[in-house]
Amino acid sequence: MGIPFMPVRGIIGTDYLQIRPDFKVINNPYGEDKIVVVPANVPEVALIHAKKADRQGNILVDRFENDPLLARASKKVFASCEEVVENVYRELTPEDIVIPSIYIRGVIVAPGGAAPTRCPGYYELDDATLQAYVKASREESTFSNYVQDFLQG
Amino acid sequence: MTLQYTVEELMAAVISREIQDGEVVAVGTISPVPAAGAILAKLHHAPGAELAVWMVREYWPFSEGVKEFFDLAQKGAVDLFFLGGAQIDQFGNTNLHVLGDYDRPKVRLPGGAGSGTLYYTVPRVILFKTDHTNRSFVEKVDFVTGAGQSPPEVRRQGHAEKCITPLCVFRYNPGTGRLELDSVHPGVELQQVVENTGFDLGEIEQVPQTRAPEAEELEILRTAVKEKLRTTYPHFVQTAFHSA
Repeated sequence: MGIPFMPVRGIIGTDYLQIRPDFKVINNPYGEDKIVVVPANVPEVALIHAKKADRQGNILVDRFENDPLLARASKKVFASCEEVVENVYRELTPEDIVIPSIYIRGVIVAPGGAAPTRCPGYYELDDATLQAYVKASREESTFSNYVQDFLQG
Repeated sequence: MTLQYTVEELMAAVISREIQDGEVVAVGTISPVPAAGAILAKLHHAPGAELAVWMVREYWPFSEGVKEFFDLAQKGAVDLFFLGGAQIDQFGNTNLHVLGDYDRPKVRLPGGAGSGTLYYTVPRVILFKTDHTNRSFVEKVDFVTGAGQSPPEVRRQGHAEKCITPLCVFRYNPGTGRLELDSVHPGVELQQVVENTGFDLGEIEQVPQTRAPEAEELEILRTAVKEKLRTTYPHFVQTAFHSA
């Protein structure tokens, strides 16, 4: 959004203010209460996995996620996608939303790129793999085995 | 005949009964039990309830991600929300940050998501937790992610009302600012609750029993609700519902 901070309700009374000196409490200039302001979060790079992309660089993503917000907040956005189509706008369903190419720096084709989480319309959450991930992540050695197996699988 | 049910089904039924017809009810991330309870209410006695259940597409009305939901809550337009925590204390504080000291934690947790703000912006908050031990229900949380109380100079719409656990229901007393025992689930001894709760429950002579789920509620949970949660919570769907 290009603005330096945003007011947020709540927070005062929690321990956030102990660990986030960048969260400031101010007097609400338009009211009687106190309110927290938080600094803008501006990621250098965002990586977004899309359902579809076209050669103009428009991408089609799931409407139920936060990808458009991420694209708008970040300095650079790179996308991976399940497949390339002629024009993503012609593929729009009520489940989707387009992030226009103006936000997108580059796109690669990477079918299965969201696994073991899901890419709606393509594949669902892989519960067994996620459970294995959680189990493997407890130790360094089992985790590196998991990564090797996953990359080879 | 005594009905057989799982503790998740019982908790979902208890949550469902808290939901009134016409309320705007939202369920956040990693909340399968409240999701089941909210959908049960909608299908059972609250057809006019407006649901926003994160990651359950049929019940997620927004196009602009969680931002749109947070904005709605900040506007005061969400009536009821559910908060969990790795720890919950006697004051209704929740902890989703760390176990132990913040700088040298024993366990680093995922963080608060919306709890730090939704606890203030939503008038009715129901706490829930799928385990009940004296390490999870503590005198004082190691880190306050969601605050049960807040200073008077900050705007706050409401507070916790109940806390649903696998053993019992606590109610929040806004006068004392503490959780009190409301009911004990069928088959659970009062002593079990006392021993597994890390804070003092005061003098308790008698406590009501939680109303068990009814056949109709269980039927809806095991058919429609289970089906609607299948893609979002595949593991929960496999383990949480009683199979005959």
